[in-house]
Amino acid sequence: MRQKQYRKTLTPSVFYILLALCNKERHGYEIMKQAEYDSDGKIEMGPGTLYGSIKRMLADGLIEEAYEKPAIEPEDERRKYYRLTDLGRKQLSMELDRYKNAIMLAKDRKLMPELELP
Amino acid sequence: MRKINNIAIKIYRLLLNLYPGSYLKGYKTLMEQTFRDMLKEDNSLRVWTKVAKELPWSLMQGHIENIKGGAMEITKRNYNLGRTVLILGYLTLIFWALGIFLSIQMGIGFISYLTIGFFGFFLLSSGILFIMSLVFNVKESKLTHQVSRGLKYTLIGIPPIAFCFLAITVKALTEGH
Repeated sequence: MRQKQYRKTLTPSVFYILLALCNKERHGYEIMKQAEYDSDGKIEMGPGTLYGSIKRMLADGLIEEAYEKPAIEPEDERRKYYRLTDLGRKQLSMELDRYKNAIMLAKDRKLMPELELP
Repeated sequence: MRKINNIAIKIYRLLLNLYPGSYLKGYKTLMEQTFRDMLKEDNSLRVWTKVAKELPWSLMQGHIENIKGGAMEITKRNYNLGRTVLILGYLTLIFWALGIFLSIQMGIGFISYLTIGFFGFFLLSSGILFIMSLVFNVKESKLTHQVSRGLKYTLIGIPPIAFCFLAITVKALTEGH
């Protein structure tokens, strides 16, 4: 298993795919819907973009195929479920930290006066 | 409605053929299944809009990855490059000889110009491919610690390419005086 240090900045698609998989194993279409929902419709992926990203994320060790399928549906046999790896979870949390820092800075510099952070 | 969806799936299946085969390996069924899911839950106009928006970009990405060796086997790509350099190198030499022969036998005319045109095209292509092949194959040979087959072909391709480059350089220099 590849456990390299992943240093690339995440693309929006990769970020939302990681976010979609953070608490549940999902198949392609579920990931697509969840990413669209989480991003308020800003991330609209088609099958080409989705599986292109999935392929690269599998190669980078950010996600992996879940061999035990969580739900039984008639079409499940044709589907593959994916889940986060430890590296993927770590990368997601690093990215979220980066966002958090940026928001704190923005707040400090009065760029977002309406934002109330604890 | 079901019939329309079936036609849509068939069209999408055809579109999938535009992706490089190696890129689709293992993903074709999944992409088709996702497209089915989309059609089941959304209206077809919206689904097609989404597909049309992403298709050019994802196709381009697929082909770039394929060329870069992300999906295509690197050894196979390097082998093909080496073989192409070899074939082009000797074709260049043949067209150089043919050009000389025709211009002596028939004088300068359409056929000799055509032959010289082909010679120029092959020379330029073989020169560019030679550099690419050399870089990729040397890299592969360093990684595997053995001379790749692509590198062997590239090296065998050097004499005709070098000869042709030398021939036109000499001709250009002597005609200048």
